[in-house]
Amino acid sequence: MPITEGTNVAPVDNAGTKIAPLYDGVSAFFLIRRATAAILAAFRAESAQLVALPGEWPLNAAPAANTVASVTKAAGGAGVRHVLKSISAAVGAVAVPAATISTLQVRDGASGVGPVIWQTYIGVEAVAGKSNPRDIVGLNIVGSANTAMTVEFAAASGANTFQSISATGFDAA
Amino acid sequence: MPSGQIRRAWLEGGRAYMTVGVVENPDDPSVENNWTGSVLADAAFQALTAAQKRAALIAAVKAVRDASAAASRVDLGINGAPVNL
Repeated sequence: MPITEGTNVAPVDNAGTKIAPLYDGVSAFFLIRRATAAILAAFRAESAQLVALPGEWPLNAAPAANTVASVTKAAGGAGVRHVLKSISAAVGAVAVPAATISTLQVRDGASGVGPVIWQTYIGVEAVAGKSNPRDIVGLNIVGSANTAMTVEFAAASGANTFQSISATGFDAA
Repeated sequence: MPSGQIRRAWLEGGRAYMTVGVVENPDDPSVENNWTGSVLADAAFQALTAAQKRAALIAAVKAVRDASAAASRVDLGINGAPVNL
């Protein structure tokens, strides 16, 4: 039984064994996919032998003072999981705020209701004109299949304070 | 034109809250910014009909979003020309 992919037939080695160098858990692929722009732009790296990570989608929120920053990447469809790679968040103040600690959360689902799967605290001192950033790269937080992913603060940080969030990630399917 | 969907509404600490997910960039409808507004859940609010409560909460959410968008908002007019520049 030859291994075929479209109209192509898998090559054989000197012993006559079919060669199928790539396997995604379901199908064998003997034609190596390049990480072309089309593959990267799909945010899924489908069947590609990657030498670079796929293109990443951006999320950002920077609302007015004393407003919760919250942004959601909608569910990607059947079998698609969001993979969060980086978070850059900050709490700052233009005028002297009340010192407080804010909780930054990643939810596996919608705002306010999805399970919290990652969180950290960001403090703000009673100092005007100061911003406390938290920049984290190298994450690999995998969400549930066909589920939204939300990055948000749990609550506003109080009068005179500003929250901001930027995050990036890609989709795996 | 941004579009929004009600994502959550709840009572907490004597206030009624609503979160609306708004697609701010029509070119990427997969990203929603979540805006939460609230009103005092007093006797007058409780006496409203469901539709009136919904309208009051949506107005509160819009006010929160508008406060953030006012500084940078550009409304597109006919043929895409900015009308407020």
